[in-house]
Amino acid sequence: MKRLQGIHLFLGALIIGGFVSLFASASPDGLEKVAEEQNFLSQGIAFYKGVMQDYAFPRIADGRLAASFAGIAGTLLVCAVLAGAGRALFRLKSPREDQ
Amino acid sequence: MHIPDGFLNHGVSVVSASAALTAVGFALRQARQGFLEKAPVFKARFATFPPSGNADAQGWQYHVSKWGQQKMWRMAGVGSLIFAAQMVNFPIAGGTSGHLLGGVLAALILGPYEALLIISAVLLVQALAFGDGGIMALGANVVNMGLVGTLGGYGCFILLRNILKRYKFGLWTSAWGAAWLSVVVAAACASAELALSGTAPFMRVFSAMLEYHMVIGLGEAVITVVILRALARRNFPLAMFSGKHSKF
Repeated sequence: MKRLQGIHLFLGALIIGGFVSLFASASPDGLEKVAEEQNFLSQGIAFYKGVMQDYAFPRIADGRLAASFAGIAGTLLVCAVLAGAGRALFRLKSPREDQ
Repeated sequence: MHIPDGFLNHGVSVVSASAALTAVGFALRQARQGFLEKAPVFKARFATFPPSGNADAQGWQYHVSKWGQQKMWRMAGVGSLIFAAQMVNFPIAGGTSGHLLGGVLAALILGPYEALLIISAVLLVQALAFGDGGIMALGANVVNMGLVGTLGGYGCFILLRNILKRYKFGLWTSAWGAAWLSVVVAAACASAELALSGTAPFMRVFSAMLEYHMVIGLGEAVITVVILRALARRNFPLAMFSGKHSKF
């Protein structure tokens, strides 16, 4: 079998983010549940709500489509942030002959 | 397990943010060497007498190696995979769900320092674009989910691997154990931060957090081992097989 590359993981991530994540459980996660039980969930303040609140792409009425788009957008964003940071930090250049 | 704004007080936020910044800076320094290679620099020479050729190096220079370029794309790929996997909440008992944290997974694929950079990038995108986890609490989240899972999880994996190395499935068992433990320790750290902020009494929040996260950790461990085994079968270069993490 052909050797896996980073791009294959990225494609897999797009499928998971765009499709598999639609079947995610909507129940509160561990921390939220504990906060709910011990009555400090209301202490949370969201002074910054993010561009895509609750993993829903803005201005798309259909909930599933919005969630799917948000997953794909987030996957692309993470990839762009990491690749951009790598490029900025370790400027990709071919080795130079002179100093 | 993303802590929203308002759960932590300013003191805890500032201390954890500075700890997270220090750790990420340290990881950047450490990871940097893995991308570069030292190469001799030859100066173009015209004919000299006696003829000397280009055999003697004039100096040394670091540049990004071929491996480093590939690694950069592997980091981006692993980062997006972990982001996507974090979106998939799996249900556990009692109307609660959990999701992958991915620290151990990233550390066993690419090495602990690269993994810390990946998890920090994922948490940054989640906080800025999706409002998942607070801005002020970002430092605490990086400490809980990044630092504990990557550096701590990798160290725990190495310890377990050395203990279990004579057994057939020792490597996978240690990956399993490190992943489970990373979730439990992350939950313990989160409850310590909540208690220090005066949000909830320590023993109550600690026992409740551990109760849920010991189960969530099982899910994390299974997902981590399944993905690692799938990658290993397809010859993806994994840091867990090597003694030297700096090569990955």
